[in-house]
Amino acid sequence: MQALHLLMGKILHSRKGRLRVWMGTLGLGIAALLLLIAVQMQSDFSELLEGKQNKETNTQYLVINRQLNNNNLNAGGLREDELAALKKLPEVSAVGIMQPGYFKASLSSTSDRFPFYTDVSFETVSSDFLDEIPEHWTWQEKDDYVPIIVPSLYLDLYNFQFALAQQLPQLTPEVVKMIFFNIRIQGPNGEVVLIGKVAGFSDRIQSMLVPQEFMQWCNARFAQGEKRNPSRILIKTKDATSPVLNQFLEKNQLQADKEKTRYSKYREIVNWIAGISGLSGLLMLVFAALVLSLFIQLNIVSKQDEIRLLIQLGASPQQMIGFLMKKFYPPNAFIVLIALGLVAILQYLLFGWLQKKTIGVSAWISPLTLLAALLLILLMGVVNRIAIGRSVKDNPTR
Amino acid sequence: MQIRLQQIIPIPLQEKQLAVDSDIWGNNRTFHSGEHIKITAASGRGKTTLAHFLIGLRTDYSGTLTVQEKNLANFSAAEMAIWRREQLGVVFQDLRLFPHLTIRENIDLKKFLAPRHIGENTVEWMAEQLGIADLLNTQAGICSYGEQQRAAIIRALAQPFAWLLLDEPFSHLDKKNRQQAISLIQSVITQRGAGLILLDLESDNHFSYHQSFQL
Repeated sequence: MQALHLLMGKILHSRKGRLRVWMGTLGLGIAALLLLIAVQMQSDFSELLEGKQNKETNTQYLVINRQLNNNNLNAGGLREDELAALKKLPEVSAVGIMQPGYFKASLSSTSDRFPFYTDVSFETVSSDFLDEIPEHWTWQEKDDYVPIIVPSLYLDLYNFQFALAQQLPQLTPEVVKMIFFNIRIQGPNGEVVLIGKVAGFSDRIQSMLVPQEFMQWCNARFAQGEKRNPSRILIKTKDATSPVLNQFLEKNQLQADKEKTRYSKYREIVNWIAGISGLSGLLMLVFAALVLSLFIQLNIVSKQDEIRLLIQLGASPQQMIGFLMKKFYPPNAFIVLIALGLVAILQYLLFGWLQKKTIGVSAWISPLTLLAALLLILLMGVVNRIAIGRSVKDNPTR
Repeated sequence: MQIRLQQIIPIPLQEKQLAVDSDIWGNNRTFHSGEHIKITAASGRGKTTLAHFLIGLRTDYSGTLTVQEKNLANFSAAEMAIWRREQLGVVFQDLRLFPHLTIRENIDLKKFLAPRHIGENTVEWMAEQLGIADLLNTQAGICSYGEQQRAAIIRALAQPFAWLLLDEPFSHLDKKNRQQAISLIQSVITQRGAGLILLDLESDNHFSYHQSFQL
């Protein structure tokens, strides 16, 4: 067979159309490269969003509330259908209702030596959503004090603005946690004064938080008006920049922390670029396959007399197809392998570059990219086989 | 391996009423295995046409041509390939060598196409018998017609066959070379017990024919 193929190679060897071969091969190579890069990009995105390496750093909490405008002031909080739809989004892994207190509250000093007074409002949320859970984060009527979580920002405002302006001493978090104060709760059914204490600080939630048990007790006794929908919620998401999530918020006139969702637009653009790259790769692949198919047929037509004579001398269609497949297919499959090798090198370089920015992607190409390359090689085989089979069939054997 | 011609008339030649005085066209003829057949015809009577019918290159005829009782016109591409490379050795009138291959490569091609090879020594021996041993590595395209014709004869003999079809096989050979070719062909077909169909312009006694026809 080897000797026969050598002879057939010599018979069908042609210097003509070499440029066509190179153009077709280059087109195929670029198309395969674009397509494999698009597949690898999608794998990298998935890894960045869902990979173990990045999971912890990517999990984010967003406080969501209604966008207020002149038309929806006092229109109520988030409806149940909106909450249900939000829970169904794949980007949202948990939803926590932020329950506000429907009563008046104020804090005041327990000592005349350091007098202070401020009106406040409280909120509560499930402890699953807290960034730091204080040691004693619960409340019962018989307890000595009510624990409160305060935004870290409040302490910063006091220490770096208020204290400096008012000639007051700066306070460390530990000192603040030692101060007891009065909490006065007022409602239509009367009022109560309790002792409170700062139990912890939160970077995540910009609100004065109390244990859920305390909030239920207060609302049951001192709430004013009817029960309303929650005005704010907290969601846990692994992708705060998800275009799907942000489109949902926009559509429902909701808003979240803009700082955290700012990159959503960029993500959307990157997704578009990856999509366009994949689509152009696919289009180029179709064209390259077409060019290759035409090139193979042209090549065979230009050697029609030789092929006809070979058939007249007794070469079977299978022998011809076997030889022509051996002539055309391995270079095509090799091109796809070269494209795969280039993607592997690019991925390794990307890994090194992103590592310096503490972003973790794999150093190796994904199994999906390998599978795509394998499918491409198979596709090339099918295109080659069809083009060759058609050309041999078109050659008169009589 | 029997070849049967039943009422064969080439469609392009029908209008010329060739069948009127032909032993072949429009008649029923049977060529039995191992027979030596001589078909003589003047130019334009359809010798090469008949050769092409037998090779399976053309099917534009009325009537039926069967090989082992199977209609040649209905052979599949694979069956046709087997017929041409294992059962029918052919020396074409126009030789049909690949001009940019050497004589040896032209012969080897036929040798490699068939699953059963003849030995390299046999090719050398045949080339010596026909006086072209020193041309084996020369491109066929630059050899003379006589040399190419001898190469075409060896190529036909280099494959397995049950029938050897020769279409004016000695047209470019002088008397001495013709005699050498006849001796070689005779020895090979005797050795293989193969049949012979020789198409030529004139009658001759190159071989001892079992049947002779005027086309």
